[in-house]
Amino acid sequence: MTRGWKTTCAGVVMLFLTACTNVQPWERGYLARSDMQFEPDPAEARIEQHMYFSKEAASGGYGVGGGGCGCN
Amino acid sequence: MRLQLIPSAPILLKGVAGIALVGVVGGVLLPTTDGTAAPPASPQAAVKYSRYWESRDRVDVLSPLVWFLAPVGEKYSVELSGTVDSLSGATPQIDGISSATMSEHRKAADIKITRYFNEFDLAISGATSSEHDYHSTAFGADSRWYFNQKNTILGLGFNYSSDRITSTNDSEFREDAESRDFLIGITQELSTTDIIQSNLTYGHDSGYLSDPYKFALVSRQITQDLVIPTISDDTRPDERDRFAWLTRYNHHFPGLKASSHLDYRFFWDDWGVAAHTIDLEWYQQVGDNWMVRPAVRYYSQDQADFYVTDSSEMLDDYNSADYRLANFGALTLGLKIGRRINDYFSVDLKGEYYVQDNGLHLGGNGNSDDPVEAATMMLGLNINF
Repeated sequence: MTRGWKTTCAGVVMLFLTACTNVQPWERGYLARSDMQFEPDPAEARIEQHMYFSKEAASGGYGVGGGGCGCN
Repeated sequence: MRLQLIPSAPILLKGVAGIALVGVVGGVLLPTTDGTAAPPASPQAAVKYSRYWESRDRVDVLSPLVWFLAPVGEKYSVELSGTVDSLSGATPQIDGISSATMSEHRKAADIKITRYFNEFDLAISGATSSEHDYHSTAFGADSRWYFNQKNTILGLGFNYSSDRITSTNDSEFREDAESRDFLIGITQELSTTDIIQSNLTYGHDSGYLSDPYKFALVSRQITQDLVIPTISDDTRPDERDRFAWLTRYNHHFPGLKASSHLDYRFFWDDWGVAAHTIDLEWYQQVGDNWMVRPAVRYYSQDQADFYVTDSSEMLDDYNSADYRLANFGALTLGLKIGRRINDYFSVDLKGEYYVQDNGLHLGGNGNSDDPVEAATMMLGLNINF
């Protein structure tokens, strides 16, 4: 159990160290792909967010903007 | 409660001639040379035709949506979208008796104008939504601040919404509500193939937050020995504080020509609701022209404090039997397929199955009396001018 935790902590620290490596502008090829965007399809995202908003109590986190509806 | 949040536009990079087909095949874009943000190189548009069916009430919603994004000069962009929902169906409900008439239209539109500076960008937005018994107007501002050659982005946002609620059952009924939403978020590039974003949003709703068409069957103590059934209006508090913390992580697998999206959101509010959402999507490029994207989403929520589980519950200050405030879990399974036609056009087709079930509730305490089961199909045309 202790050994498992040590490995996990080391892993998390390594992840943060990796995070400190800067991606250079010329290395951005993969990150620029549309399938690597957080919202590759803004139109689809709007439809989806509205559907979940009208069926569930939770909402938000993705952005701010937009008006309300009588659907909830 | 009333506010629906529009997702923020994707981060757009400079010098993207030959831009990847919007939302379809993940073609490689030309990398930036200076790591600053700028408007998209060319206008993009999408037309989506979405159909939604619910099994329990035979609700059927048809929603065409149009979306448009374009640069305006070197330093501005404008984003617009508009939709019309046509809803038909019946809603007989057992516990939370509803008397809503069911054939309505909702029209909604939004606009965002972004100004790009060297180290940050700033946007203002407006939105409107109207149905015959609900009108909403919203405006907001958001910005992104760039650090570490755009490896790190700080996002800030604010939105205000004002709603007017009426009722087809009562021509004298007229209430107002407002919402204020705030966002703070960090986006961090972790490597050439990894990016993570974490956003915290806070919202405050005030005014009439109940549903004028809903009722709850509860019990009322008349004397020490006499308890009678009674019907209560759906009465919710006139204030609500809500929080959502979303963390999402994208990873690209160059060898597989695929990318994974993994999102987790924790939601909580002062009505007693707490909810977990986990979303996993896999974008698989197939050849040069196809994209296949399976997706799975799991959701679980805990009920509002004033949710009425059954009619033996006592009448309280706040009562609601609306299933959306119950304990339940939900699962979505989806598949989207995209096909690039040429440099200008691509099409996509998505099918999704959504089911709420008391058995999916995380604590095992599901008590919704009206779980939703639905299917969606979406057909889209994406244009890159």
